[in-house]
Amino acid sequence: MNMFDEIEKVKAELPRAKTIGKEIKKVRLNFYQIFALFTYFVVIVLGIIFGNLFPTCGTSSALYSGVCVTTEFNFSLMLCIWFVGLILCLFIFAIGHIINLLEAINRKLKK
Amino acid sequence: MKSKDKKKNEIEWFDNPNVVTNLIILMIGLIVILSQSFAVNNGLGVAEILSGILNHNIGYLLVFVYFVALKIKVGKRYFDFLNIFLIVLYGLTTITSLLTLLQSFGLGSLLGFGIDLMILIYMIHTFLRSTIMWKSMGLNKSPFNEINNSGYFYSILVLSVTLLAVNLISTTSLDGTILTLMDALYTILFIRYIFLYGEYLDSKKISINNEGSFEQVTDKVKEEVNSFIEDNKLDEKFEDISEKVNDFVEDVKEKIDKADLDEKFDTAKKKVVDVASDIKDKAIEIKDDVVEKIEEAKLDEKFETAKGKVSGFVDDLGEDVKSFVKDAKVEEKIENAKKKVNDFVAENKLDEKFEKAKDKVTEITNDVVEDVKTLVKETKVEEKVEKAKKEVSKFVNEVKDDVNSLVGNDSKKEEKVKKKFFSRKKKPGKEKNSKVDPKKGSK
Repeated sequence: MNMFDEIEKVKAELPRAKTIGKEIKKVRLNFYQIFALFTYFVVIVLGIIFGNLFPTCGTSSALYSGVCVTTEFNFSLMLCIWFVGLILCLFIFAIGHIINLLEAINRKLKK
Repeated sequence: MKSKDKKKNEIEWFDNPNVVTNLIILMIGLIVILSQSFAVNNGLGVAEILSGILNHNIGYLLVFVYFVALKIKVGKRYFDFLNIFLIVLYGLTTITSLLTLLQSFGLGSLLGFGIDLMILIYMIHTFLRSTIMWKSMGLNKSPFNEINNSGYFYSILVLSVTLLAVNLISTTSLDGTILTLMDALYTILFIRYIFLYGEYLDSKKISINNEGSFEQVTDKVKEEVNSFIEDNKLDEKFEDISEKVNDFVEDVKEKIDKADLDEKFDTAKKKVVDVASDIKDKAIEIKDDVVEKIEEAKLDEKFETAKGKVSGFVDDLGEDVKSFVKDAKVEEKIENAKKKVNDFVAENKLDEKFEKAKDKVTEITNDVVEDVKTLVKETKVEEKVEKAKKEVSKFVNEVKDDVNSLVGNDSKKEEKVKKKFFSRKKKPGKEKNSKVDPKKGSK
């Protein structure tokens, strides 16, 4: 059987953009979570800047020649920065989520 | 069937997505391993390996994850999600290519950017075609749909070959040449994979916007139909069958001619027509006879007069009944009587009078009862009655004593005395008091 036939039989449909938008609208973020998202946006920009600041040797043909004729955007560095930034921002986001949960518990206890 | 199986087995390796994906995985593995080993052989430092080689391989490693996931059930299930991941990855690669182009402008970087951009557009217009995003993002109206599947494939192929040529010209080492060749091979295999998916979608859903692929599909269908006809020798079979049918038709015609069916049909038709005309004539004769008899007996007039009488009688009767019902107006009369009674009661206020009379009667009776009581008290009737009772009882006792003294024990005298006294005093109230003891006798 064709590989794509097999995939077509079992594959899941993508969610609609409207449903994703509704789900995002439902989420209420506190200060920590907003700060985390903002930080991640900054990290993305930083990754692009650092990737451009520290370029690598260009094409694969010139990798072993010793002389770098063309320089290339440092994709790996950018991804590394993004990855580290993601972990850091996830940590801050998680703290915000825990604070949200604690506030909800406090509200229920007061009632 | 055997020919079909043969054809399936005859599919070229570059048309089989399974083989292509396996080759891509193999190629990525080779590129990553060989690039590392070449770096070690050429005595590159850690910094160079981390910056150059890692940067070169990281894109391949991410694509490697995509193709390995396709071999697993989970990857097949989330195929569309993986495609989006791949599109995002190539989007980033295109941006970095653009930045590379800005950093060091040259034919190589320009071609690299062109290839990445083309692959990105090709992927978006192929992988998202069978998803909800195709319409929601308005991709069905995209001008890039004018380029058909093979158009994309061959244009990227030409670009990648050109880039290979440029890189080969600029390379100075064998390792670099091998790596450049492998990069080009990977790109060709990758676009082949996208091309096969596009072909698969075209075979399933023939896109109206994509004229080239539609023509290809129709050509394929025509080829398959022709090959099927040739394989099964349908032309010859059709000719044989048509000859047999012609022979059969001729035989049938001959038999019809021999049997003179037309003449028989005509005679039968004539007979049917004759019989029908006879029946019609007879029916007309019977009708005429019946009409004559009716006229002779004047049944029409009699019937009409009887009918008129009956209808007149029924009408008169109905009118009488209706008039009687109208005249009688029994229900109305009852209602009127009820109304009159009610009006009379209301006008004369009989209800109130009745209540007043009732009250007066009760008052009078109470007064009478009280008067009687007062009279009884005033006249001392009870005392008088008691006195009378006592006097009567005394008198009775005296009478008894006299009788006893007179009668004594003689029974005959007793009877005579009884006759004298009791014949005169036969009242029932005084019987008790007049009883005489027979033992005491009478004077």
